[in-house]
Amino acid sequence: VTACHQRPPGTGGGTAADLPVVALVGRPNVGKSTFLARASGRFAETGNAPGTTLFAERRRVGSRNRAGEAWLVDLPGTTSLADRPAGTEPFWRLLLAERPDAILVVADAGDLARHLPLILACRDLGLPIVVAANLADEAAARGVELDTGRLAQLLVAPVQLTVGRDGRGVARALDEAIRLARRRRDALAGASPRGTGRAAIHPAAIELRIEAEARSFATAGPPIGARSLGAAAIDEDGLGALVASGALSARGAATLRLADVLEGPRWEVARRWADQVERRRTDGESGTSTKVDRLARLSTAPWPGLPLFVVVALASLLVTMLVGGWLAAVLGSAWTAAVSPLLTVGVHTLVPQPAIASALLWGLDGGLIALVSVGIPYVLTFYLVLALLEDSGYLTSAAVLTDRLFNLVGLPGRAAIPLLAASGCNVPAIYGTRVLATRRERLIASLLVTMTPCSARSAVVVAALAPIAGPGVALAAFGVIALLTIGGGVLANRMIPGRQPALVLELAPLRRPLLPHVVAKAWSRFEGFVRSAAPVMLAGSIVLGILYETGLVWPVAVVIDPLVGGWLGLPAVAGLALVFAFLRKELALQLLVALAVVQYGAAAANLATFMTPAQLFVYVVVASVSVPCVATLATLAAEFGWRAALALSGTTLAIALGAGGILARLLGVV
Amino acid sequence: MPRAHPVLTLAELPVGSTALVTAVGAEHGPALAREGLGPGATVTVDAHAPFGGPLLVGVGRARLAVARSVAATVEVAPSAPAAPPDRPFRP
Repeated sequence: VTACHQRPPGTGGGTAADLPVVALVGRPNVGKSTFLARASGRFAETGNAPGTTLFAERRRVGSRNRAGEAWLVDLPGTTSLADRPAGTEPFWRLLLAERPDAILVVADAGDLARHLPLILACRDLGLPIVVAANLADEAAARGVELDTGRLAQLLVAPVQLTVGRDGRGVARALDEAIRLARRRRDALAGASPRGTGRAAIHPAAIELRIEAEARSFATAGPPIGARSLGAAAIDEDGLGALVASGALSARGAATLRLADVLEGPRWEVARRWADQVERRRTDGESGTSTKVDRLARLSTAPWPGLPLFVVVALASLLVTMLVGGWLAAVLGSAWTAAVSPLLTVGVHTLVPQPAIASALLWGLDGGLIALVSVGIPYVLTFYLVLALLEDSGYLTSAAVLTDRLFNLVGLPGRAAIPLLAASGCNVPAIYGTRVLATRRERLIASLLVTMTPCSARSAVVVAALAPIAGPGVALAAFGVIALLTIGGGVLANRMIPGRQPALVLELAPLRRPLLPHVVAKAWSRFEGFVRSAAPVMLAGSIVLGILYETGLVWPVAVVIDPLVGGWLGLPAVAGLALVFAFLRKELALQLLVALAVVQYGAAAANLATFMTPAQLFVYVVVASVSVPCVATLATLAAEFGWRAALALSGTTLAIALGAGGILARLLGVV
Repeated sequence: MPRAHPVLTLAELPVGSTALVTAVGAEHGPALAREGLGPGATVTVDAHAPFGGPLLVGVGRARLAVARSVAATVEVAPSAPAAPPDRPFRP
């Protein structure tokens, strides 16, 4: 579905495809991204979705000794191979789609009992595994010692203590994985993979069940390359086809099909083995860890957790607004002073027709300045704050505290992440809804996201109301918008069929964020934002420029007048601005002024000359809540299909117009 | 099958108490098992989130947030408080 799934072209000619593939697997919060950064020597991540790494990302890595090169594939954090991290496909499908030759499982050296079940599940696939017992520093601080030799014996696989934060042991773990992957790649040469001859670890009854299931794959599996409807019907989960194609052993497929049956026994083995390989010192060295533990407990307790949450949330918004506002002013004025004149001269020189030149300038100058003065300052700042909160582990605490409140609109507390992101820009926030479990939750969250004012729309609300009616009125407008958003969520929760899955979530431990990681995360998400939103913003600007320069906007005013004048009590130009703000939401105000100047003359540059504060209030609420911008609509369509995208947009339009009409009557506009 | 004793669930445990998981309902069984909350696990109730929110439960070194409706499907047997070596790092 995304470019991240594609194998990047090899830099070394035809050899890239021949390199062995090592898959990186681990539970959430085990420090896998930091481990990946150390292993590949690069702090960066896929991260087109705030909240998680959701797609497999390939990196070409080299071993420090003779093991050679390999593709290291980073996969999303998962608690089991049967999880559905992207909402639809089980994790094992994502994993096997990468055709791994070995699996490097990143585990917590200080909490082996919790991480062994996933290690055992990977081991059951029949692929070579290497265990990186990560966070070894934290384990040592807690007084936990791991007998890696004994664990390696039990697993029949290499085990290496690692510290992702400073890179200790990472290269050695990677070397082992590359060596095993290379060996399998060399030995395989087209043959079907076999079990690795490891000892049975489960009670006899369960082992027999695995064997029986495996036999069904060996005999009833569809022939190689079979894509017939019949085979697909028998092989609903696609495991038979994977066995037939040689990507998976029959035993491996059996353990995947029996995943739910095996989960309990694996945890039992894990508890038993953890007792054998862990040694705990109970002397005084665990002081710092208990302080962190206590802090973690306090952060989720009603007191002082709730007041702390309010402080953190307000501080995050304040930092984003202050730093973003400052950056916006600096970058905006720099652009107007240095780039705009050059662009204007350049375009007019190259394009002799003034109307076409003006339309182009709408896109190039007007569109780019929006990106520079809105996108970069607010979105990038917000992503930095978000990455900081995420890496500190605080975000899950916040999700737990607010869970019950979000339940009112049918969402889990986790939905706070995309909704916070929405106050920066709606486009990445919609991608961010992928952290939610079901399509239903994603649709509800996306409706809330599109109704949440992004930095551009917030700027419109403030700029329209604060100078004329005062900052208090601007705040009141935000209050009305927030109420409408919550109302929209309650409505969606009622109308979209289905119900919310109940919450079971592991809390991230509190850790000191690693600055390079925070910066890299924020930057890669920002890149994703620029890639997805910028082209649509530019195209929208050019279309708007053409409509405006050719005067094609004016006939629309006649059509919409009953609604705009009669129902909302706004002048016709305001209606036009509302309609065409779809193409450039952040221009909702400038557009209004520009159109008004054309209609009423230069004096209309001051909004107060043709609209009352009450009319402006109605205008900003409707402009902010109604129909997402064109970039958001395109994103909604890409994520949910056009029908859902139009339904969501239609809902926001209905809410905005309904509320606008009622407001107009309450405020005495009509 | 009727039981001799009333069943105690995780949702009913007071904050600060420790118990052994004895059985888990079928609906949430797999999801809970993946988080280590299956039969045989020792759990400690750390706190109850505000507004009737989830329970915060300690399992080994990890902390889980479990919705009350889910916690009500987890059957437990209280364990004697005099056996703390399972969590030697609690303050």
